[in-house]
Amino acid sequence: MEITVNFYPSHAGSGCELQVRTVVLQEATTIRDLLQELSLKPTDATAIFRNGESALYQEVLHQGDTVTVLPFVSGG
Amino acid sequence: MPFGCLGKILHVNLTDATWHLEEPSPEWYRTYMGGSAVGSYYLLKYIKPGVDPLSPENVLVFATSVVTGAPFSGFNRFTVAAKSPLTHCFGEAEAGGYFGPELKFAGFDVIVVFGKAEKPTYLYINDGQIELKDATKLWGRDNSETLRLIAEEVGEKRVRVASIGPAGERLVRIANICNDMEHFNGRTGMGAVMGSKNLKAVAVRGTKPLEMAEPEKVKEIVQWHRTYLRGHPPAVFTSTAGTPGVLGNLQASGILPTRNFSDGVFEGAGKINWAAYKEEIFKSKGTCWMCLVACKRRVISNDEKYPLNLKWGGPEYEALGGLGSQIGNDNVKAIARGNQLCNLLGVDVISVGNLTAFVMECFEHGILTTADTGGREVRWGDEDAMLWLIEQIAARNGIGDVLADGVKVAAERIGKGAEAYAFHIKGNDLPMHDGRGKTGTALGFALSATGADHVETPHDPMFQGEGYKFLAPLGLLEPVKPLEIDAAKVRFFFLGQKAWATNNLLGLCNFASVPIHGLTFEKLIEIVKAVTGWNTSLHEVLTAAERSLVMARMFNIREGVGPEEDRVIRRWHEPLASGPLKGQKIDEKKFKEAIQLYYEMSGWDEQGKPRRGKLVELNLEYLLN
Repeated sequence: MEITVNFYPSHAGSGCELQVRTVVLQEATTIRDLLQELSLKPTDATAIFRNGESALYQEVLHQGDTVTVLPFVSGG
Repeated sequence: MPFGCLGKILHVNLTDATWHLEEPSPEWYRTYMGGSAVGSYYLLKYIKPGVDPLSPENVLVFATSVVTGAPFSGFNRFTVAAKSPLTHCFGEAEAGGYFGPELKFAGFDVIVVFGKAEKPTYLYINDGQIELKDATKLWGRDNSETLRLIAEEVGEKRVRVASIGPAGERLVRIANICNDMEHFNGRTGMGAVMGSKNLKAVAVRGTKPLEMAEPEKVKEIVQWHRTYLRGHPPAVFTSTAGTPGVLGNLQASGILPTRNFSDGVFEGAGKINWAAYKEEIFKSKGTCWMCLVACKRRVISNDEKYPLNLKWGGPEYEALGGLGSQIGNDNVKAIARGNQLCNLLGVDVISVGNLTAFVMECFEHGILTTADTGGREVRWGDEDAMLWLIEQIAARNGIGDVLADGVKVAAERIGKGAEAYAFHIKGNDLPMHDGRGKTGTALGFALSATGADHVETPHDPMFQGEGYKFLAPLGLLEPVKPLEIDAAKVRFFFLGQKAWATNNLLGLCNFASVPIHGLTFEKLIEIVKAVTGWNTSLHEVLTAAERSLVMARMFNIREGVGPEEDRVIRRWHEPLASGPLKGQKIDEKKFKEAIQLYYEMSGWDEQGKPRRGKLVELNLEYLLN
């Protein structure tokens, strides 16, 4: 199945344009698996949206899903 | 009385060593709910305008909320409020840990402290029993020793202690309040207020569980919350890397405060980021009451020069920035040592970092010389000078005495143009965030009643792209552009600020609550309902949050604080020197327009004063006079 991934280069926060990439994965792949595929660690991927809704790591992806990975540039 | 709270507020008068109980109505609890609003309520009620914050006439409030102590991750914070000796404005600081829930288990929702004790004293509350105990032998001791000696004296290993170190005793205006050596009411000098009252500590021990309206429902939501936190990426991030994980992202974004905000990238960031921290000093995670996120870091080192004690707390992001990039220091062990010195002596690590940066920049420009420091050079990147300054400030020695009243007063005393390098808002120096890369946060810093405060404001980059959907339940329906300062940005800040104010009102940790890290708004309201038994709504909670903001604003207006104080620092109107955001600055005219637009949206007049209609809407018409 094909998944579209939006992410920021180097996880920079401000003023950067989102990059878009298409990834081909096996069925029953989770968001956690997708991040491993992209070589992203939990400390890289800090907010994830699947088809526009906040998503959890354990969610299973489906053909045509769009996943957005946001950086963490917040504060205490 | 609603569930979730005790209905008991303890008033302690230190001057004559007496106390009495107040039992407010259920409607009072539903109006003010906790934290910052309760603090404001007592400050507005009992403090006369213009009083010296370090006089017995100041009032000190320790406030939990109607949901503090409910068994959810992040429901553990408490507020300390008083008129700030640093800003002469509304003073407030929140801390996590175990003290807040323990106070409720000991029988009280809030403590209001009046007057000044004749000699060093500490307040001990043990399951509803109250004692004012002699603290003469504790005076002069650091926070670790104080904790140990109180536990020994009361014979309770699990006593929870909020104490001040020697800095608070010496009325250092950036002194904090420490609990369990890794949790701090850090900002606005609340430790100095305790010192001025001869109050060394408040120690609490409680064993009575909290009564909640729907315990089975609470259990069900606790299970949901635990599963959610384990899979929710922002919570997993914070659990994995703690706040130190933020540093690398800020560097990549070009907004890591560097050398007194003169730059947004630090060439030594790779030596003080989470990877370096983990390699060099990290030992284990720490946490707060019932919290699964466990964002605290514990550190250890046998380094001869920079020894680290596992029990004295590890630096969080604010310390890494303040004692690191902000002063040009890339030695992570020295940062951690400086952080532990601050924890022991009881000074706010953010302010210490900023004061050090201020001194270093003054040296750079020849405004300060070795003649001012007893022969000591204080240059960019000198970690040992930073450690030396911490001790000088806490002891009010030499240059430390000049710095101990905060960066604004220090610059006024030094003169010779030092004001140009003293960065503060309302007298409060800035947390480690550069508003040039997140203008919504800049609005938050400008408009905070306590002066710049990073836990009162949304941080724009998390709401870029689809991130805005975290705030969609409040009405944000468009992606945020971190660098813009326009009407859309004011709308974002106006909405987002209410979420952060909700957390400070209810004593919730941003890292386990709305809008990003650990709760949805829907679940938050389910929790408030299940704990209190109120048939409440998001509207009612957000209104209470707005009430807390307006009350703090009214306190400042009464103290004569005008709209000219709603500003950011000069340097943010100048271009960033290098990095990915090189050249980025905040347009001063647009920023002023944004502040006016915020006033208008808030129902405030052109001078930033809440209009009569707004006060009536918020049940605050008694503040009209």
